Amino acid sequence: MIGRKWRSTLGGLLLALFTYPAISSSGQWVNPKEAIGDPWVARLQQGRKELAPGEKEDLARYGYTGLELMTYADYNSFTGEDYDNFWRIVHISPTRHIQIKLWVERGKHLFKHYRDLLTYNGLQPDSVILKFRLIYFYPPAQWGWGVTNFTYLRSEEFDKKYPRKKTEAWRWLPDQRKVSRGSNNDRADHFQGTEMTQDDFRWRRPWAEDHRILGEDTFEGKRCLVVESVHHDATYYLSKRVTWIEMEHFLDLHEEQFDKKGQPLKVIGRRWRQYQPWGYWAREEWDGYNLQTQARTLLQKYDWLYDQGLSEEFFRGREMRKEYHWRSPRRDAIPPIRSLSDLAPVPEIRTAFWDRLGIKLSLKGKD
Amino acid sequence: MGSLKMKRFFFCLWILMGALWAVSPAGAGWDERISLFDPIGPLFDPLEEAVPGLMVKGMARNWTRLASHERTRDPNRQVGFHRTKRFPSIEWLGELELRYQATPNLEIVNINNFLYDSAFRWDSGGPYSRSTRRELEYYHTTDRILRELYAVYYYGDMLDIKLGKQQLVWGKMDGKVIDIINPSDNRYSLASTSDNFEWTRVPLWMANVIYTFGDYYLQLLWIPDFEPNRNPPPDGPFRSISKPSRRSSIRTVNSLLTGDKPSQSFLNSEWGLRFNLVKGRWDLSFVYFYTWNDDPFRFRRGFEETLDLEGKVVERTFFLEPKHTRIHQFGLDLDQSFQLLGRNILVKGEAVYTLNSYFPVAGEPLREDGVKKSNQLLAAVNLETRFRGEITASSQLQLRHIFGYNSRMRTLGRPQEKDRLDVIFGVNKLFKFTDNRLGLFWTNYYIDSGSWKERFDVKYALSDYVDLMVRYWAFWGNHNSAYGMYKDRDEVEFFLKYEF
Repeated sequence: MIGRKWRSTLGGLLLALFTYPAISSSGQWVNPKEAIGDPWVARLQQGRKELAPGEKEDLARYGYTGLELMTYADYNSFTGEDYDNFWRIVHISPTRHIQIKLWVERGKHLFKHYRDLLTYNGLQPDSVILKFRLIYFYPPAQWGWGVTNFTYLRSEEFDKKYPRKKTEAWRWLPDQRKVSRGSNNDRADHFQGTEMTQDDFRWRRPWAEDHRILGEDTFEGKRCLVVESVHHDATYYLSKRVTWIEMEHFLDLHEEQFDKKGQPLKVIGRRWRQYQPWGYWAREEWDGYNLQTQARTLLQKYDWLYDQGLSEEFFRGREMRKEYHWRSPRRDAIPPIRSLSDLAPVPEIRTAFWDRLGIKLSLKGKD
Repeated sequence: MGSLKMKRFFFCLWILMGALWAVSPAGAGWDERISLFDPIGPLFDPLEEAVPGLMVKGMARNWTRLASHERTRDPNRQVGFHRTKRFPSIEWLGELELRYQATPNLEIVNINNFLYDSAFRWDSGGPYSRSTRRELEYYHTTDRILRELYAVYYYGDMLDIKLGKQQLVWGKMDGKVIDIINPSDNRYSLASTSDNFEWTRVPLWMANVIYTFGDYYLQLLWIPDFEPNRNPPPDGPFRSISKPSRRSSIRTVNSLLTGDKPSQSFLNSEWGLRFNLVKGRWDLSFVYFYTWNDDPFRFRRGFEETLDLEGKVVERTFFLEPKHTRIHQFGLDLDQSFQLLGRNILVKGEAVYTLNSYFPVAGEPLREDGVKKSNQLLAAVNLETRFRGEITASSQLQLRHIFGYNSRMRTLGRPQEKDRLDVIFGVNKLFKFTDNRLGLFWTNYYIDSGSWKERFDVKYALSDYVDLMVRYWAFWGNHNSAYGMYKDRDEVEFFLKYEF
C-alpha cells in the first residue's frame, strides 16, 4: 500500500510531467546596444532628421540621448521569441484592504528583431507584434477567466489617427460561457483598480515623449543615468516621469511620476532578474506607491520560461474555452502574503538625487 | 408584522458582520481583516494536494427580493386585488464545483447546486399551491441538484468532445437572442438578468463536438434530453397576466388538458450545428438548431357550453392541449471593433429566424384549433464603448418581426404586434477611489409600444471572496403593456455572495 508521502510525491511527479514543458533553451539575451546596432536608429525615430538642442547636449555630456536610453530600456520588455510566466498583483488600499490576482500568461512576439519595431522593417503600424493569452487562478470569482490580447505596432501618426487603437482583446468568463470581444480602456485608466495605469502596464512608447538626461545617480549600487520624460500630448495625465536606467544592461530600476501640477504622485521600484539558460532579463517586480493616497500595487512576474515554441493555435478562442491552466505555480517560487507585514518597505523618492540637483520636492499638504 | 421581518433581516446582517470581525486574523484592521476572510477555501487544500489535478471551488449566496408595493392589482376584475408577499423570495444558493484534470487533454467536471428559498418560512402567506411551493422552495430532485456532469476530451488541435450534462451558450451579446440551446428557469421572469443566466439555464444531457480547422470550426450537437422552460409560478408576482376578456354575457373558461413532453427517442432528439469563422477582425458564426419549442403552444381541442334555463349559452369552456412542437431555428452572430471619432466602438450582432411558431388567433371557428403557424425573426445589434474614468456605455436595439402576420393574432389576450422594437441602454461606472470595488450600473429597457423597465445596481466587492449588491427594479407603462402590467411589482433586491 503506498503511503501518503509517496502518493503525494508520485502525484507531484506526474503533475510535473504533464504540466511542466520540457524546457527549451534557444535564444540568448543580447545587450540592446548590440541588438539595435547603429545608435542613431534609437536616437532618431518616427522620421526625425536631427536631434533637439537638449539631446545634443546630453549626447556630448553622457554619450547617450534620453530617447536612446529609454529605447534600450524598452528593449528589455520585448526579449525572447516567446515567454511564459506567472503574474501576481497585490493591491493595498489606503485603508489596508488587500486585493490579490494571480494568473499564468504565455505570449509570443511576432517580429524577428526589436530593431524592426523602430525601423518598421517588414512591419507597419497596425501590424500585430505581440499576442498573449492568460488564465486566472485567483481570486476564486475569477478562476478560469481567460484573456487573449493582440498588441498593435503603433507610430505617432497612427496614434493621432486612432488614439484608442492599441490592442484587441477577447475574454472568456466562465459565468458567461462565451468568448466575447472587450473594449479598450483609456491610457490613464487604472488596471483593475490598481495603481498601475494602462500606460504603466503596457502602452507607453518611448517615441511618444520628449526625454532629457537629468544626471547620474547610484541606485542600489548600480550606476544609473536619470531621464526625465514629458509626453507630447499636452492633455496627458502626468506632467512628467523620471526614470533611473542602469548603465550595464539598461534596466529601468526606479521611476518617479509627477501629476499635472508637478507634484510627486507615484514612486515605482522595479526588480529585475536574469533567467538562465537564456540570459534574458525579466522584470520580476513593479512596486508602485501612490504618495498622495498611500495606495500601493505590487505586480510580480515570476517563474519565467522563454522560447518554448508557441503555435498560433494557442491564441484561438477554443483554448480559452478549455479553462486549462497549463502550469501551476510552485509553492517556493514566490513568498505567500498572509498579512501586510510580509511585504517589503514601500519605494521612496530619491531625495538625495533631487537635493544634488537643488530641487526641493514637496508632497501635497506637506513640506 | 412587516417591520418585524425587516428587523430580523437586518439583525441577521449585523450578526454576519460580527462573525467576519471575529474570525479575521488578530491584530489586523477592519479592511485588512475582511480582505483575508475565507473560511471555507483552505479546507479543501489538503484534498487538492492529495489528489493532483483536482480543483474544488464553490460559492454560497443569498438573494433576497423585497416587494416595494404591498398590494398588487390584477386587471381581471373577477380576481380583484392580491396581497403580495413582502419577500417574493429569500433565495439561498450553494454551489460546489469539482474539476478533475486527468490529463492535459481530459477533464471531468461536476457542478452541484443546492437551493433553498426561505421566503416560504419567513412569510408564510401568499397564494401558492402546495405543488408550486414544493417546486420553488428547494431543489429536491437529482436533476436540479446535479446541475452539470460532463467529461471533455481534446484531441490534438482539431477535435473537442464534450459529453454529459452541460450548458452551452451561443452568441456574443448579453441577452438571449441566439442563446437558444438550454431552456430556462424563468421563475423571476422580467426581473432576470444575464449575470444570473449561469444559474437559471437548465442544463441538458448532450454530446457536443467541435471540429477545428484553421480559422474555422464546426460544432455539432446531439441532445437526446428534453426539458421545457420553467415559467413563473401562476400565483407569483411575475406570473403571466392575461388581458381580461370584454364584458360578455358568456363567461369563458380555459381548461388545460394534460400535456406530454416529447418522449425520449432518437427521432425526438434535438440537433444543433454551428459554423464559426474568424476573418481579419471579423468573428462570425452561423447556427442551425432543430428543436422543440421550450414553451408548449396551446391547441384548442374542444369546447363545452353551459346553458341557462332558457337555452342561452352562459358559460363556454375551451379545452386546451399544451403541446411542444418542432421548430427550426437559423441564426448568426458576429462581432467587430471600429475606430470612430477617436473612440473604440464594439459592435455585436445576433439574429435568429424561427420557423413554425404558433400564435393564438381570435375569432376562429370554435371547432378549429385556435392557432396560426408563422415564422418570426429576432435580430439585435449592440454598440459599446468606454470613456475615460472607467465608464462603459452600451446600447442595444432588438427587433422582432412576424412573417405571415394576421391582425387576429393574440398574446395573453392582447393583439400581437407584427413588429416590436426594444431599446436597451446602459451605463456603468467603476470608482477608482474604491480601487474599482464600487460600481454603479443603470440599465433602461424600452418597448416601442410604450412601456419601460429600469434597473439600478450598486455593486461592491467587499473582498476577493465576498460581493454585495443592492438592486432596484421599476416597471411602468400602460397596464396592458409588456412591462406596464407589472408596474405595481417594483422590487428591491439584496445580494450577498461568498466565493471560495
